[in-house]
Amino acid sequence: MQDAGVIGKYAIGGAVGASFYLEPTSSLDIDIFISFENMRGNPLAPLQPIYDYLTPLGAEPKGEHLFLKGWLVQFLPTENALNKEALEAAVETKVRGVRTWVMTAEHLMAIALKLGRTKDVARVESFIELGKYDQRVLDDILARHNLVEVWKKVSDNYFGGNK
Amino acid sequence: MSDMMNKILADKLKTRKELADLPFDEKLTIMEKLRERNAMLAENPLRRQSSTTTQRRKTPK
Repeated sequence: MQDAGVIGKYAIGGAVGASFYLEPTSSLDIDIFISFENMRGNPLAPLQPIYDYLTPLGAEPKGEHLFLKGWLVQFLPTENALNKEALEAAVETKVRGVRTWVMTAEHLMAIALKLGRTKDVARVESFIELGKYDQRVLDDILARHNLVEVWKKVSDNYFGGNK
Repeated sequence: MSDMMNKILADKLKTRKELADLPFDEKLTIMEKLRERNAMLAENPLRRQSSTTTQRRKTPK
């Protein structure tokens, strides 16, 4: 899809992205972050080129997802500075022989802190517990995106409860 | 916390670390199996009956 020029760089985020670093967990869908900037087609229907490309290949629209090869896939816009940065910084890997990008552990943590739902906080705690991140890189991201206080609250709560 | 409980928690963390260190492809295979298992559980008639019962209980008279 990228080679065909339908989308530019993309990155896997959410629970599946986190499982790149953490233990595998059950997830409803795969979150794929893409930039809608410079995409062809109708700006009011930015996902249309993706749907047009993938539907003949067997993808089936299901609400806000595309059902593809057994997975529900959701394409999400990188609509804020943190998501845009996470997309840019995503690390290249191979999944079943196919080149792909996954958000860095530190960006996944920052996005989870920004979202702040119970499952997001649990994910941040998993990163802390398994030690799968670089504190200096995380601090830098948190400072840039105004998330230092949220991090302090979550980490204090984690370390306070695990003394 | 008792020594036995501490050991159980340490073993759990060790297993999680081992799972985290698996190659991504292997983790995706595990996630696919977990997803299939969840779908199977959700399809179980007993589970559906239970959720219907819960809904019925919640419906105001």
